[in-house]
Amino acid sequence: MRSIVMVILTALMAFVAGCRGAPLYSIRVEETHKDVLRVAVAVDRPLSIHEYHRIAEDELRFVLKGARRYEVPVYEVRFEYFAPVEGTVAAERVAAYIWRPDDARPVHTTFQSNTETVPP
Amino acid sequence: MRAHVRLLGLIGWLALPGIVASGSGCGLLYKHAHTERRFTLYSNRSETYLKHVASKVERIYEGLGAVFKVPRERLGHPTILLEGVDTDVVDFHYSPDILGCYIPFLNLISIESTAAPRESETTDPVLLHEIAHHFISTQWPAATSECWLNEGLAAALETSLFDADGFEFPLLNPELGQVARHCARGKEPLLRLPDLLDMSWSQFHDREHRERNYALAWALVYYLLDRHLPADMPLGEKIDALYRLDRGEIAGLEPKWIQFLRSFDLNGALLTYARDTGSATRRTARWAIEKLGQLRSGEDLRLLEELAELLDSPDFQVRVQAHVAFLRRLDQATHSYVLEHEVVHKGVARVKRALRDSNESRSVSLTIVDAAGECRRTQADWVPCLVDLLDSTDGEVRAAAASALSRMSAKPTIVNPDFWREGTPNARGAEIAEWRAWLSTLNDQG
Repeated sequence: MRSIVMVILTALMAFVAGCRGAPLYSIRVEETHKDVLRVAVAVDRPLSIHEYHRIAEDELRFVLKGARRYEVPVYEVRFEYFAPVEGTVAAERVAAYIWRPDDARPVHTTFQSNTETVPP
Repeated sequence: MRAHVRLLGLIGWLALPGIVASGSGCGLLYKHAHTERRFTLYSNRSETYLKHVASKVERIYEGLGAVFKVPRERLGHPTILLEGVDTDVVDFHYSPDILGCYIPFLNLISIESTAAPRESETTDPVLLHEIAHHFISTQWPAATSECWLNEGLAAALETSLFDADGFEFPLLNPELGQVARHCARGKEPLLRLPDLLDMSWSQFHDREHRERNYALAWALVYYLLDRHLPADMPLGEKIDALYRLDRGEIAGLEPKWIQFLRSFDLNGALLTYARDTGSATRRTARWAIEKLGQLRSGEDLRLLEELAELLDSPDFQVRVQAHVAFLRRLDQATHSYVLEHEVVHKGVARVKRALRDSNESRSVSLTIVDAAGECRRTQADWVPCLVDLLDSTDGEVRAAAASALSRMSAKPTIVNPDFWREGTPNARGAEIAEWRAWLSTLNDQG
């Protein structure tokens, strides 16, 4: 009995030790074009492809909801992921993901200019 | 008790290769399987991707089979594992240690395809490399203990070019060629040829020197096939001669080989291929032009001059490839004086003409527009042309121009191709007017 408990405890400790916490991240949404949104995701470390995808799926609902509220047409949402560079305060782009509606048509189209024209 | 555990462990280890090698074992580990006459593919990627790769693998077995002339039954029925998942996420940090491997005793090829988009050709060199190992180790089993031969020959064959109609073997590996030349011209003493010939598997694949060893192994095999053996000898016979060459004789070629490496004109070799656009070498010509646009080089002016001459090629695909390569080369030119050279000016004018030429075929226009959209340093040259194209009579060209402008310019625009294809002329006109006003503001600012 005692050996079974020890085995279970060891397995549990190994599991806990092997687990990394859920990724921490913050996002910033920008309207880079009249129908394109850019979501800059600052992650605490480089992640797996699945984790990048899951973050995009989680955030997309809120991003689209906000776009509808402000009547921003959305043809494309570009997710860009940035992670800290070891030993510096800088961050580097580590991954990207582009989302488009399935039918390749915008969620909402007004085709009205809603951004200022600013030369670079 | 311990004896039983050991016995069970031993049985497990002995059974593992069998389980892995057998279809049922892989079937348990992978979602999809695709069996062809010569091989079985397993993968967790989509069945569409599996079929796409299967057709390539079939073609590679045909192409290499014609060179090696190994009876089919000797090759057995290999298992090919395509690792990776289908995803639209681009992971810039992704850098696998091993892109592929061939395990002779299991007749198993494993390919890492995570970084490969669904319809791309990025896995072609890895497939060619690993399938070449299959042929080499089947035809000449001793090659498995001679890393320079096995890896050098596979690296020469990985640049082979193929489509449904044919196969070409340039044998030139530009990336490894650059590394080999760098080693030969560097301050550190070059690895001695006898040492390269005698390297064990672990010495050859040593993490610190692996890249150098691959490059020198390719350089040796390329030298022997392309410079040492008779030029008129068919490739299959050359490979056979390579197996049988006396190793002492090869070691004795060291001074000539080093001389070859130090004077090797990689750009010159690519330019020779690029100019030879005959039907038997057209795949190699297009590949060489593409490489001339991609590779880092200190000879931008020489390459731009040569590429400019290909901009008017009567071969439609060479013309497209030359335009793309010219744009890329121009955008990554190391010295700005290159951009002021007369020949380069003429080339830029030629590309602009092609962009505005309504008689140019749609696929040429779309490809050039797309390539222009990737230019960062020379964007001032292309933006006015692309703005003009927003008014093109062809909706696809309008959409491609808008997409290119959205990538290269900070001015917000409508990217949605449906708008540019089908939007009302008034709405499009308003957007174009906005672009022209923005351009004139830029011009006024000087």
